[in-house]
Amino acid sequence: MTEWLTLTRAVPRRRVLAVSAMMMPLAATASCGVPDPLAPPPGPSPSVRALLAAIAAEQALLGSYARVLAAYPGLAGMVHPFRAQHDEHLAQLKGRLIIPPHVTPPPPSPAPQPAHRPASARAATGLLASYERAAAAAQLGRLGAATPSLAQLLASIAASEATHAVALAALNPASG
Amino acid sequence: MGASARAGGAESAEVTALQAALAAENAAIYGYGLAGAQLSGGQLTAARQDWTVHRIARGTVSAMIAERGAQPAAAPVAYRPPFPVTSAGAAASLAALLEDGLVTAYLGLVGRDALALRAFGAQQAQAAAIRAAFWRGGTTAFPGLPASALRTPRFG
Repeated sequence: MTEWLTLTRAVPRRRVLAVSAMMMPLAATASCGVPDPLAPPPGPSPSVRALLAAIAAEQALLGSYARVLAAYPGLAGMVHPFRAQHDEHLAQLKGRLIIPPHVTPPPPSPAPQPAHRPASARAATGLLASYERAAAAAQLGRLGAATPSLAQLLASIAASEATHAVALAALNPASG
Repeated sequence: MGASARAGGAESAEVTALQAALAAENAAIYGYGLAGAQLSGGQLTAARQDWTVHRIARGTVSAMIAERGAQPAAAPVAYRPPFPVTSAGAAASLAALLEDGLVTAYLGLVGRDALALRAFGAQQAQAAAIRAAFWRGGTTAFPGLPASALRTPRFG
């Protein structure tokens, strides 16, 4: 308080008045619960966070396909329909994301890394089936935070992933 | 009054979505009966299993409607299939079509606000999509979603 009084005495009165007038809206907003203009911008809404997580999950899944196919290129034709459908999922999810220019989107989370190269082509498709099952289950965990329209898209993608898991588990590729 | 009117509106929207799921279950029960007449072997066994699943689901969904103080809508006496079901191929196509209808109907529940309803709808949509993929012999990217619900991806 003393410091303030010292200051007012030190500067011309007109300037003190101008400063007080400038400070008034800030003081008023602080006491009334109106958004504070000096606060950092709010983070993404829960629905946007769910969308970002779904995008990261699709990217991780596509990464898993790429790694498995690097080890077993012969599976490319067999798993192509599933991979192509994941590309469609990713495009659809990204199409719903609007990023303001000043926001940096979070980097995609790392894909699940198999401890070692799957022992056979059959083990490789089994591994992809387990990733698809896990991805479908994770989508269901995001439904609560999503808007109705996004929840329907996530549930449809989860249903697609569940069909991939069943189809992959039924594949019986020749070992190689 | 305002709050309870809103709650009542949400409840009636839930009932509408549940009635749509019930109608799709009733259509499937009738349709699997029709399809079964053309099937044999493993396909007939699968159709019988799916028919049983749909009868159980019909009971579950009817109970959910009754819990909300509404009357489960009665099934029509008969349905007209969209194409003649006179072969095993047509029977499998009909089963896939019926399951597609179920996925769409259950995604209607996912579009409601109540989390329990969303979770139930999503589980049922997954199960129906798996049966649809079996009868069709292939998977799709967006089971149950009409093309109008999907946005054209933006490039650039």
